[in-house]
Amino acid sequence: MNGKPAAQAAQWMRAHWFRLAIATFTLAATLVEWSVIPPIYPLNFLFSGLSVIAIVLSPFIPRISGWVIIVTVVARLFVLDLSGPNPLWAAYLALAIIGYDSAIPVAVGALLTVTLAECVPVALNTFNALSATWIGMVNYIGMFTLATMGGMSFRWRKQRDKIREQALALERKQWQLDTLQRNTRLASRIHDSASGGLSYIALTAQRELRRIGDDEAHCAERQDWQFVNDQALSVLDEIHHVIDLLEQPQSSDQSQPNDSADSKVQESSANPVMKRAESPVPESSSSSSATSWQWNTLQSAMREANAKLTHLGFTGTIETRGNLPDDCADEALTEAANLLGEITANITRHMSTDAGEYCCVITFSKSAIEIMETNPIAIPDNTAQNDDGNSAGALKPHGSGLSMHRRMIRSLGGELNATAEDGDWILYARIPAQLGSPKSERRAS
Amino acid sequence: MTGIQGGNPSYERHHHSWRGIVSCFNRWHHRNLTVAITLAIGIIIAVLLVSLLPQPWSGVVSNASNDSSRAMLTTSEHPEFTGPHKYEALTAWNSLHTELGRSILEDGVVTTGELVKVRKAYNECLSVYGLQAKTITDGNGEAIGESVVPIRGSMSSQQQSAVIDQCRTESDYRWLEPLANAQSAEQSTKESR
Repeated sequence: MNGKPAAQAAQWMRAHWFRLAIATFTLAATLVEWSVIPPIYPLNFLFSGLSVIAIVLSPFIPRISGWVIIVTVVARLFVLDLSGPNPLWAAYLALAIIGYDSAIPVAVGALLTVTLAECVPVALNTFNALSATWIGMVNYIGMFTLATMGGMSFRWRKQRDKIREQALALERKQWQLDTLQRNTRLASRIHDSASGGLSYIALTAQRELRRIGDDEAHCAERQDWQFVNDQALSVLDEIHHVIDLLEQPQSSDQSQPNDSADSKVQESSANPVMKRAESPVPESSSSSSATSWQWNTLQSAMREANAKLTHLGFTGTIETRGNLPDDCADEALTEAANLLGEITANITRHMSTDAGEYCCVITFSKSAIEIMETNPIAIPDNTAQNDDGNSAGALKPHGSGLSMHRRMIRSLGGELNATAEDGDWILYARIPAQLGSPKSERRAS
Repeated sequence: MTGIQGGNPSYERHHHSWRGIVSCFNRWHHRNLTVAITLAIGIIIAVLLVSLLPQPWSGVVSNASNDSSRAMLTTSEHPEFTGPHKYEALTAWNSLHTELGRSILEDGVVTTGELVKVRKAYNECLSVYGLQAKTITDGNGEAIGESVVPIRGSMSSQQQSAVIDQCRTESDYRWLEPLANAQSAEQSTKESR
C-alpha cells in the first residue's frame, strides 16, 4: 500500500521530467542571484518571494504559476529597485509553460503583456529599463518570443505524437477487425461444411444402434455403428475446438453477450418433441430465375436439408415464397443457403423425431431474403434423447453456429433473431438482397 | 412502450451525468475562484502594508541631482579623538549620514570588520541601481583598488558616477574607508618598526 503513492509519484515525475528540470534550473538561478544580491526594498522582497514560490509550484499548477510570475515581473517594474534575483529567468519560464499549457491566443497575450510591460521603462527612460535603447530591447523581445515559441513547439510535438499513436492504434484495431472477420468466415465455413455432415453421420449411427437392439446376433454390426458414432462425435468435438480457437480474439468484445444468449436459447430449445411425418421437397416458386445458378444453389441446399431431416425421421416443411430478385447478391444467397444448413443441423442435433413438425419459410422480396423457422419445444423433463440413455454418445450443442451466422448477416446489413416463445422455437433472419457499395466494389475487384 | 421505457433510463442517465459534470465544474470553478480572490486580496493587502515600510537608498538619485546633503545633525558633543588622524576622524564624524557610521567611529577606530559592514551598506545602495562595487586585486591577491560595475539597468555613465558618489556619501563609505586605510597603514608601520 505504501509503495503505491511512491510509484505514482515516480510515474508523475517521469511524465513531467522536463517541467521539473526547467523549474529546477530557474529556481537554482534565482536563488543563487538572491543569495548574491538580496532584494533591498520590502516590496521587491515580497514580489521576489512570490516569484520563487510560483517557480516551485510551476510543475504542479503551471498555468496559475505562470501568470503569478508574470504579475510579479510586471509589478517589479514599478518598484524602482534593481536588487534581488533577475526576474527574466522566471519570465522565460512563465512564457514557456504558458505557451505549452495554454491556447495560442492566451500564450500570445502573455507574451504581449511581458513585452509591453518591459517596454514602459524604456519609453519613460527610467534606470530600471532592460535596455537604454529600443534596439537593445529587440534582443529581449526576441528572447521572450523564443521562450513562448519553445513552449508551443513542445505542445505541438506532443500533439503530433498523440495523433500518431492514435493512428497506430486505429490501424492495429482495423487489422484485428479484419483478422477477426476472416476467422469468423473460416469458422463459419468449417462449421457449415463439416459440422452438419458429421452430425448427420453420428445421428444416423445412433439411429441404427437403436434399431439394431442389444441382441447377440448383431453384436459385430453394433460395434461398427458404435465406432462410427464415436469417431463422428470425436471429430465433431475437434472441429468445435478449432472453431473456438478461431473465435478466441472475439471473446472479450461486445458480441459475447449475444453469443451466450444465443447459446441459452439454443439449449432451451433442445429436445423438442416432434412427430414423424413425410416432408415433401418444395417446388420452385420462381419462374424467371429458376435456371440461374443462384436459385440452383438454394434449391440444392433445401433439397439436401429436406433429405437429411426426412432420412432421420423428422417431419415438417421447407418452402419458398415470392421470386428471387434478379440483382440478388451472391453473398446474400450463399448466406441464406448456409443458414438453412445450420437450421437443419440444429434440428438434427437438438430435437427428437417424435415431438412435432418443423416449419421453415423462405420469402424473397426485392430488397431482402427472409427466413422464418419454427418448431415446438419439448417439455423440460423429457430430456432423454437416446433410447439407450447413453448421453455420452449423444450430440452436444456447441452454441456457436447461430452466433457466427448472426455476425455474418449483420456484416451484410441484416439481422438474425432467435427466441423461445409459448413453447415454440422461433428463428427469424433477414438478409438484404443487395449489399452496400463497399462490398460490391470489393466483390467486383 | 418497451422502447420508450428502454430509452428513458438511458436518456436520464445521460442527462444526469451531464448535469453532474456541469455541477462538478461549477463547484470546481467556484472553489478555484474563491481561492484566487482570497489570494489576490491577501497579496493586495500585503503589498499595501509592505509599501508603508521604509525603502532605503530610494532618494539617492534625487539627492545626487540636487546635490543636497543629508548629513546627521552636528552638535558640540563628539567623542574625544586622539592620535595622528584625530582631525580626519572629527571631519568624518561631522559628515556622517548613518547611525551605523557614528557607532563605528565612536571609539575613533575603524577596524576591518567595521569597514566590511560599511562596504556592505554601500553595495546595498549600489545594488538598488543595478551597480556593484568590485575589489581589484593584484597577482598576489592583494587589494589594489576598487571599481563599480553595472549589472542591470540602463544608466548612463554620468548617472552612474552621480549614484556612486551619492551612495559613497550616504553609506558613509566616503569618510570611513580612507580613515580605515590610514589607520591600517599606521598600524602596519608600527608593526614593521
